[in-house]
Amino acid sequence: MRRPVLLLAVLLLALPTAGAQNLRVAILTPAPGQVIFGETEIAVQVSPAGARVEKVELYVDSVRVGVDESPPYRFVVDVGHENAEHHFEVVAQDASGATASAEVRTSRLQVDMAIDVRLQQLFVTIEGGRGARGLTRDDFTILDEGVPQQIVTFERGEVPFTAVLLLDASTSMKGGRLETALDGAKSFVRSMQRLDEVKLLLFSDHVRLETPFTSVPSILTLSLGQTAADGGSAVNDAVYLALKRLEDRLGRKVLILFSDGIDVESVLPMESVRQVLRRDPVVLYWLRLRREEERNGSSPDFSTAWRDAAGHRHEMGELRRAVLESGGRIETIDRVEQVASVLTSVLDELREQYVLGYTPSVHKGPGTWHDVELRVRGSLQARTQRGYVEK
Amino acid sequence: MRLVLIVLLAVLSVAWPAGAQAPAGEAAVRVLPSGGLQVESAALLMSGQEGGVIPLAALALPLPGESERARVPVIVEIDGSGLLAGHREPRLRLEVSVYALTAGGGIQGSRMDMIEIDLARMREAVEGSGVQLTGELTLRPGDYTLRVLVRDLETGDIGLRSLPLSVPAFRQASPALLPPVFAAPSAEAWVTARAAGSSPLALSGLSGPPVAKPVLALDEEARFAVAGSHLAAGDLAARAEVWKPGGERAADFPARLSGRQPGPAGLEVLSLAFTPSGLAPGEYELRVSIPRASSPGTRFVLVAAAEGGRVWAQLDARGSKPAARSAAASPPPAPPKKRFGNAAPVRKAYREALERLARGDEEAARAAVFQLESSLLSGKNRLTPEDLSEIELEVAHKLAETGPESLVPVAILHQRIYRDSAGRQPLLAVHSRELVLQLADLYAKRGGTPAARAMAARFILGLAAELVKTAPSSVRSRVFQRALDLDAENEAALLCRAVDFERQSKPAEAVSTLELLLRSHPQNGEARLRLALNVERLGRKGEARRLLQEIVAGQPEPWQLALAYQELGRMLVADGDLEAAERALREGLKRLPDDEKLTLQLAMIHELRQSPEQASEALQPLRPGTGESARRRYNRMPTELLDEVWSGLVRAADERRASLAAALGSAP
Repeated sequence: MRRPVLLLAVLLLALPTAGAQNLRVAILTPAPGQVIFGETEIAVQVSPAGARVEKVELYVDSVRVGVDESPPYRFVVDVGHENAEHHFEVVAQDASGATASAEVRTSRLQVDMAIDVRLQQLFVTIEGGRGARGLTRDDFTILDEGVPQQIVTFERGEVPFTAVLLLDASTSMKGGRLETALDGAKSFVRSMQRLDEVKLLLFSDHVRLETPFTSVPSILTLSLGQTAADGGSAVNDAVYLALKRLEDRLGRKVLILFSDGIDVESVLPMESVRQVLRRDPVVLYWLRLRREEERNGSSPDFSTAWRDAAGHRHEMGELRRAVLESGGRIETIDRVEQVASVLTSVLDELREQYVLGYTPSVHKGPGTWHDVELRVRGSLQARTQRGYVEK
Repeated sequence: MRLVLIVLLAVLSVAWPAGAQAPAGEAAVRVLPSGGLQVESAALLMSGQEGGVIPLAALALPLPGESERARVPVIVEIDGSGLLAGHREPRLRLEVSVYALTAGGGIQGSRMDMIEIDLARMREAVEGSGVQLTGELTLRPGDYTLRVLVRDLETGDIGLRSLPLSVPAFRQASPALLPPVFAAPSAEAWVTARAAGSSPLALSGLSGPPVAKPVLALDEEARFAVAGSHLAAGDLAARAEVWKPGGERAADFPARLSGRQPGPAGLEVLSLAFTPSGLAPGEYELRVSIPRASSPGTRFVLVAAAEGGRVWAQLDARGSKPAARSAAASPPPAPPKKRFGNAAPVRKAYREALERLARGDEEAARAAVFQLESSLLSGKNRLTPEDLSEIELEVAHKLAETGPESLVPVAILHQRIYRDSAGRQPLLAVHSRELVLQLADLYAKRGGTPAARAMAARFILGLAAELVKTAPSSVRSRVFQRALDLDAENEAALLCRAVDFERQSKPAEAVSTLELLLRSHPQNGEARLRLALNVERLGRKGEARRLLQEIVAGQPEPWQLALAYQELGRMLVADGDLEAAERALREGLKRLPDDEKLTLQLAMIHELRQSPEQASEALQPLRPGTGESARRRYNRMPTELLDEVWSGLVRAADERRASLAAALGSAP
């Protein structure tokens, strides 16, 4: 799309038209090399003053994101919170059809020094709900490798989170099931708080679609037009990529997987992915779509060219273990129509969570696993991460 | 007499018929989860068609459950007399699928089980009567059609039956009767098996366990039980109504009530008896009526008094046959000959359709044969697929006598009908598939040359292009083996057979098949890649790595190259040689820069080195992809090869139309 426009601009510049000789455009903000995150204003200046400008188009990272037909030419876009370079290009067109363009590249943040505060956070869900509200830090006891820890930060409820919604878009989701699941995802995003953000990742035997982190539901569906359910299933690979996309995000991190969990085409074993999950506290929820044969009382026991039945059972077991270790849970559903209500319950759960921070007093060395136990006063049962890998 | 439900903890209950050996080691009869219904099986069940070559009977008995849903034990009886003809495997494996469908065609309950029987120990018992499986569904109150499919996983033979099922609303106060239940003549009458999660049914006070289709003797009192709920108190005047299968009442007898006792889950059990008389031997349905209630029907077979004391599978069409046969003493007999009326009109219509084919009007010919076969396999006066095949093969034999090449367009015609009917008309699809296999045998035999055998193998593989999409793996295996029996070096058949072995987790068999393939077709890159992966599964790691290195040194297809690098990287990581793995993956990424899996593997190497930041950096360029990944391609059948075979066959059929015309002209 952009190339023909630019080509046209070059051709028009070659023509002896008054507008073509005079029309100029410049991006005032952001400046070249500037580091940007989240909502960003792009201010555009078109000259000469009084030029009969028809429209100014804005492209961000090669995607046409907006058109402004009257001055001041100003756009606000959300570029997400990934530490990434971005390319902005504006194309102005006047009444004679002449065009002019300008571009700016922003930079990634260069991290020269990491600040190690060694704060370990636990995301705590009180099971059952009754008596869950109104707890104080004194109601909790954290044991790191069996040693009681002092709780230094204590928050509840509206702590912002960043989530990846990882949806299976394989052949098994044909017949409108993918669309129904996506409707559930959209209602999840609509119910989020202002500072919460989500990325949608669709996968089959490979990654099919990845949106930026956003809190705007429409951004999630921008590119969905061409995405149809098809292909196999590489759950492990997709979970790994989702974890990595969450890695440099700050605060509470959540990964919601919607899949029957049967991995066929992954190149990575779930055991390796689980080790990555152990390093970074991401709460993993698995909306497990029960297979037809399970509903009939059989266990899904099958082999593929990649794994025998025991291999498939092992991978599924590792995924279960990863979910439970992360402090998340497995919600088994029979119909894709249940996705929306389960996502709502996950959102409710996130809003009810306690976030406890402590600075571990036990040091075993980088790369070692710490068992964490959380006790709650009274008869309440709490669910949280079962440990972490020391950095 | 009291209906007693006993829940056993064991998942399997097996009765050993007289003459069967006691089990040693692994059970001689096992019931396994089937691992999911195949598309073809589902299509057969949903089609509403009945027939097939495996005779079977079924009875469902709804019982009150813990919730509103009823527990519905289903007894399926499978005739064993002709079942083992042509079996080469030491085990008989039967897939039994049961669907409960609403009037609108919705599936309200289903189960799929696989019965596996060790023939070394059980052959005689299976042939003596057959197999009885008890499974269980849970269903809401309502009217259903119960559809039962039995498939022999070695031969591909099927049997399909439908029966009405009414599940009473036990919690409502209105009276309800269940179907009459009869006992087997002896506890060992059938080789019995019970599916996981199903409770056994036992009838206390009768001489054996319940059967699906009892055999009653003329003029002899038959005792049975009927369970019901909310029945009127006091003496009940019960009647036994005998109906013909077509829905016409045949006779009405008084039923003697000898007792009524409380049964399980609030049911009451009536002990009844009646004496059928004045009826011709044959098959009927028994319904019981009492004031304000009548029962659904139970099928039974009525025989002369001398033929009683058996199960239905021990009788032939005339109502008698030896009770048990010794496999050691004589080979298993062929299934009972099916009867059909005048075959001449069918033969004539079939020939006329072939004449159209010979004239080049393939579409009209196909439509005519499609319509002919569809109408003959369904409807009131339908033929069995065996009967229809016999008539069509008779025509084919005559054509082959004149010139075997005339069979090529005929075989392709039936393959096209198979493609048209697969998933839509399952019985027709199965018939077409079996007919093509028989035409291939006929062509090979008539041609008598290696070239003829190779062409016959291609007939069979032409089927496979469609078959791999819908048919169960057992049918696929059989088809590929049939092709290889005709042409041991057939490239497509060997590769497909190897993939089938892989998918069944049989690497040793896959390796030997692939080695055979590479001896005759050393240029086959896919075979070389699959060989590498399967020798690794056998523990021959060095050999696997060497084979993969040979592949990446060449110029294979892109998906094969990607997989060779991915697997090389995976093997090196598993061996702990991260440096060599990284080298291999980077080399792969140079040649295939957009390969998602190589990128993920490279990132994971950084994770293993505790460098998550480098891993993130490696993942930075990863973008969503399109199309089919190499790993997906590996997990499916090489359909491209099969499509090539099909295209070649279509050309060959066009070239041989003149042979067909000549054969039709000279064959009477």
